[in-house]
Amino acid sequence: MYVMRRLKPDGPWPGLAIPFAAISLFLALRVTGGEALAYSGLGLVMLGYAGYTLVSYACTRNSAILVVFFYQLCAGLMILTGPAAGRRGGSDALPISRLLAVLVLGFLVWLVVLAASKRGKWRGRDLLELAAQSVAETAVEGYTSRPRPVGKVDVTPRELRDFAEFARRELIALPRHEPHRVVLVSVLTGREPGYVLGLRKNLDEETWVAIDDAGNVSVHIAKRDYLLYREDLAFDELCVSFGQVFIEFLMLFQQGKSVRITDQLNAMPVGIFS
Amino acid sequence: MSWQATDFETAAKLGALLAKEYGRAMFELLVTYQDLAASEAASRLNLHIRTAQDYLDALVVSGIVAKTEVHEGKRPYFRYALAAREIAVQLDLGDLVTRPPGDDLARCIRERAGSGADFIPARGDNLISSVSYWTDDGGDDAAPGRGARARKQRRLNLTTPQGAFLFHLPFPDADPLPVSEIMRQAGVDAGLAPEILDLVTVLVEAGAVEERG
Repeated sequence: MYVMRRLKPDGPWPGLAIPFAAISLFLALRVTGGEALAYSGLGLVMLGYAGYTLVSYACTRNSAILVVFFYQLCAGLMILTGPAAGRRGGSDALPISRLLAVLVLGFLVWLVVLAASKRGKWRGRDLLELAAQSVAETAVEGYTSRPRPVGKVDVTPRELRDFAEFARRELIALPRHEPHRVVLVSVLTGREPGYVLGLRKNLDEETWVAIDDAGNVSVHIAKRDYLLYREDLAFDELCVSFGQVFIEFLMLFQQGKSVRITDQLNAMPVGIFS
Repeated sequence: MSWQATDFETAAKLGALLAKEYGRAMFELLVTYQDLAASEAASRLNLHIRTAQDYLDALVVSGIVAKTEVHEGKRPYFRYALAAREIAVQLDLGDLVTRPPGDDLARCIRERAGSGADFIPARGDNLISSVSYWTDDGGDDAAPGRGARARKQRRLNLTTPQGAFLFHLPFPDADPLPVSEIMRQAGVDAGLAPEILDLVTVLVEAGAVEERG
């Protein structure tokens, strides 16, 4: 399949923002308070980040995120029991810190493999790219904040629930279960803390696909996501296409071909950190 | 003799007159007295003479009361007497809608681009619960020729069929659809066409919806 890049280039690796911030903090502490404080600070930051990652795992049940958690946990403990302790006058080569170092290396290799396969990547940008592939450019200002009904699917409540859990696990969308429908909220890398920490609750500002008990599918694309496209795309067509992507995903899921969903998303020209 | 109101405007004027706090007392006087002057009615009901005169004149205009000019050695004045002892109001509310909906169901419409209208979705349902739009509210007094500058936001709360209809309204860059087709897509019963067309008319006038073809 020939794939076009329809989105504007992403910012400087939103997925790496927190690691870069941690390194900056480390350097700042080293200059102002010395090496012992810098390593202690870095270790605590890693443990704090691990705590957040654990919350993130509880929210998604994505196994790659669990690997990230163990990596961060081991790295934080390793820094605190190794370099930080050594610079406070203790030993920096305790057996426990050596074991943690080995574990950190192991998890790091595992992480690289997972990152390369995009297993722990939020799929918001991939979805926007995939939906826009067949959408034409337009000169008409077509954006509206209204949701768009895009069709109907044949699905049982049980299948819908299972699909929602699959979408959550694969980081395709975070489901919100309402009394008569499931809303699948698309999450872009870099914006996930707001969702994981439950800070983003207003659906009017999100891009989502809702499927109700009768199988009616409706789509809402947030203005800020629409503005991520390079060109002014035909908005009506884009909404239909976005909904069709989810309808197709649901059908593939029902047929037991979930791997095809991942293949389609992986084929999009989106970086592993974006 | 009886007096009858068969159109909405006449009935509304009568209603306004009857609803005055001194309305019943005034009619009691008119029934009790063969005729009376405005000053007599005013003194009897403890009203300002101008209030009593305006009220009686309004009844004269409606035809319920008749007035006669009299001369009793001083300057002429009017005496008022009841012209009808029975009042009947009979309205066919169906007459209020003069245009059959069939004419308008073929209008092709869609949301207007950049209208500034805000369609607020109902929580957890495939409906629009309300729509807000801006209305011009008067002009610029300092420069009357330069058009309206003050604007007000109006919010329309929608009935369930109207909400379903607007949920299926074509987007600004989509092809306009006939009202009847949008109603079909939204599952709105054809019998509800009047309230849908009323909404369409309001939104077209407000510039939130545009008509094409």
